[in-house]
Amino acid sequence: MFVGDLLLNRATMIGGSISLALIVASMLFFNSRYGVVMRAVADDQTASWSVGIRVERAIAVAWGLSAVTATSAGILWGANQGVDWSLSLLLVKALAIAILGGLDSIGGVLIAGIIVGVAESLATGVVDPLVGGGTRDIVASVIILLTLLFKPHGLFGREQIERV
Amino acid sequence: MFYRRAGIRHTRYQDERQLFPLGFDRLLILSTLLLLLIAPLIVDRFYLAGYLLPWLIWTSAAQGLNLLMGGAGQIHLGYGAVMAIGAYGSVHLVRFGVPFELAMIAGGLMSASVGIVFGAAALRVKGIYLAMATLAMQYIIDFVISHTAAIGGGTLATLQVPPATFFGIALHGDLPTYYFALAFCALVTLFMLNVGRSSFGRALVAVREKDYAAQILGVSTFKYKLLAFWVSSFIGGMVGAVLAVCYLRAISPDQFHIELSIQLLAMVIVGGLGSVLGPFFGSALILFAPIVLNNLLTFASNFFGFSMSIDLRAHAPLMAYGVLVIAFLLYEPLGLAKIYSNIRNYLIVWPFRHAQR
Repeated sequence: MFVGDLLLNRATMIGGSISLALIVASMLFFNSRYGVVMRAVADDQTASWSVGIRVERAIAVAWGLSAVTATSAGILWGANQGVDWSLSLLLVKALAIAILGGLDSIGGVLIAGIIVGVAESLATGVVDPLVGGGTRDIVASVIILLTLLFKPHGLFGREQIERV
Repeated sequence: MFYRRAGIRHTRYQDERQLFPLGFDRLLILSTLLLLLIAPLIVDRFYLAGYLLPWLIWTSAAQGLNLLMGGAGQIHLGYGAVMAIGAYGSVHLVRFGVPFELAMIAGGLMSASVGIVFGAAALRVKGIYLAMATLAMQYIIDFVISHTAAIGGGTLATLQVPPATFFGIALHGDLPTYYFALAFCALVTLFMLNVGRSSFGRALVAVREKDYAAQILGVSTFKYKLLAFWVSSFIGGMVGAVLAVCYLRAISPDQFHIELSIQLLAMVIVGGLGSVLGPFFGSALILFAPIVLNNLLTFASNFFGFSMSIDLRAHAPLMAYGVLVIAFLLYEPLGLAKIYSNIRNYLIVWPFRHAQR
């Protein structure tokens, strides 16, 4: 499939546009009325309950939305790379990206995703010959650890978050 | 009925300070211990080596994790890695000719010194962030063990555990390993029982409830968080050594992966956070529920004459086991030990409910 002069795989093209749409949608949602409600619940459940927010419903919607996003990501992944049990190892990478970007920042997630991806490729190319392979799996863990030790709220997260 | 506590109060301070103030509790514990001691005479050796031995070892490990999670309130997702350090350290020392008694303690010390690093993370972050930090460390330690030829013996290698003796008794065969694990488990349990009523245990409880408040009361949060990690990793390392020598007999990195950490976490939570009895119940449930459910399912399919595919037969017990764990958490979040303690509280003054304090 040609986009201008670029030759692109159809699955990559469609997957990329779907994930772009999801990112834009989540950015819009972040500042919408319900997004603000959800952030209030994340900050302090008792306080948001006392100003009339339905905490249970906000939590349920949050789980539902995250499941929808994760499922669409899984389907796109499967269309590109195929699916097997090792997809569950994606958990650590997703955690590393979320923590590095800051847990309440969507722009941070985009940048952190690029950083983690580049770091993994660099580790495969540069560090692997030194220690004999397999460093790709460990990069995400190292990033989580370093982020939590030196900048626990991530690159773009707000300073005042103690726990999620 | 059994306890006969209605109206009876202690008459001396020693009676109140005892580890087990109630006569019936003492009798129960003594008879359980006796039953475990004569277990080799009454049960088949398959059940001894395949059920009781792992139960004792996993219980000791869960006790160590429970000190950290239930006692000090610090979540730890890398306990399997801590045990791996103890196991690999002690096995290497035994291979170099160090006696096992010393190698076990050295393995514990190695685990403790790495476990302190986990504790350093706990000083900066808490809650879900600490869970992620310990998870990351689990993966890193796994990687170091399996990729350092000097520790793990090269890629995908299995390390044979050399024959070990404990004060002249060769830890080989069913009986010595079983009694050794029993003695070790009893020792760890006794330690946990006594930690609860020492100043150390009370300081941990203060840190668990609110670390700022503990600091204001004069309990050094810094010191006790690190100490909690140190002690629980030391126990974890020793259990790793016992596990390697008594049960596994050949260790490879994949035996200490994240699955082991999560299994231990489930044992502690299902059994009951902060209770000494909890890990016994929890490890029994987590280790044996899949086996029992599998047998039940096979029996049911034979009895009622419906056929099951091999896949379903392999996976249905796991599903039922997951439902069981979730149900326990939903209906009794304090775990199996809380159920026991509810029954005990009811029976303690049984026919005279009005006498309950």
